[in-house]
Amino acid sequence: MSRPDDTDPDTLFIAEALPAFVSEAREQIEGIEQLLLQLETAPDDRELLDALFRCAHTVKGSAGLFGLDAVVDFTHHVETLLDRLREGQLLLTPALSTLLLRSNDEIRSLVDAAAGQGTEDRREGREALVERLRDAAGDTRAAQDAVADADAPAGPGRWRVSVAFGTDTFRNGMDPLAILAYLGGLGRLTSIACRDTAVPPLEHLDPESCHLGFDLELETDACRKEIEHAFAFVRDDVELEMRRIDGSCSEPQADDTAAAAAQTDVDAAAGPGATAARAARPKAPPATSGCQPIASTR
Amino acid sequence: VPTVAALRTDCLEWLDVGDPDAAVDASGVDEVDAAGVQLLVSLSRTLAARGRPLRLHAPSGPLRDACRTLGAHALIDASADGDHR
Repeated sequence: MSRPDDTDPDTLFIAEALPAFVSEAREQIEGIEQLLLQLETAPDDRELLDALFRCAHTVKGSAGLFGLDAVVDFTHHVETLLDRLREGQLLLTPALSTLLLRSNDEIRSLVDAAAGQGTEDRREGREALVERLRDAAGDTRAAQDAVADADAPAGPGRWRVSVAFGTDTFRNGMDPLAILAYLGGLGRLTSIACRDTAVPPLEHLDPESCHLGFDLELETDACRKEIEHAFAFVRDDVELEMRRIDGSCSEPQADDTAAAAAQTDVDAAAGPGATAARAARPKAPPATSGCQPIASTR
Repeated sequence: VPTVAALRTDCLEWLDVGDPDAAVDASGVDEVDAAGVQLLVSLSRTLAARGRPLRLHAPSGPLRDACRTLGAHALIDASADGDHR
């Protein structure tokens, strides 16, 4: 791209304007980092997600003007994932946030390299990141289709779900109402009961602590992982048990341990899947509660 | 959530007044979250312990929806005006 001819107008332009690009790109990169940190407490804030997307889009756009192909190519993958997030097709899980922070570091080092300050080309690490960004974003639809296929022979399922939200749910800015409404959107909630007795009487109630637990039955075409996904934002602070009860596909009995393991699987299961979190946790154990036909796990 | 602490205080004061036939005017609830419903569940339990039902007067649409979503049907079914749907 850069030609040795000092009199070439393009080369002159680049030499003169590059510092401005680098400076602006670093601002955007800083912005991305700040936004990701802010989003940790408000992972579905649309304005922040929009801003995040614009930062990456700006870096990519201006890098394109300078022919910085490595920056453009890599940032493109970040931008694609951010687009999925702002469209609400994906949830910004902590694991995904970590992946994006790492990717942002990568953009920073690519910009440094463009500014002549790079020390080494980390091509291999970059390609691994691209792979994970792709898994997280691009393959989602295909993965969901695959999920639907896997569940298709069993048809719609009936699930019994027991959930106890953690004490800090409200303080973490999470609303079980929104989560259960989302769950209802996966199919039909045929019954739901609030565990009233877990809620202390007024004299002893800390109203900002969450004491809510629910027993519900859900009819849905969604698979286990998709149902678990409804709890992705609170998964560190929730007791979740779910069991398929329509008899067509018997599930392993869920005790507390299994439920905890299932929760781990939500963010840690290997392979492409409906939640981006999985792609960002390569250390995952093999999934035991995946979207495979459920009978096969027995 | 920020308002539930204040609401709890209000409810406790209201309890102290102790009018056994009082109903909670729930018609003006434009917006409610799970913390709000939890407060009502708690109030309901407190009243039940004193042998009194919680009667919500004319619960608003958002409040009804929230109670149904959260499986707190009893709060709505016991509403003072009997208009369940």
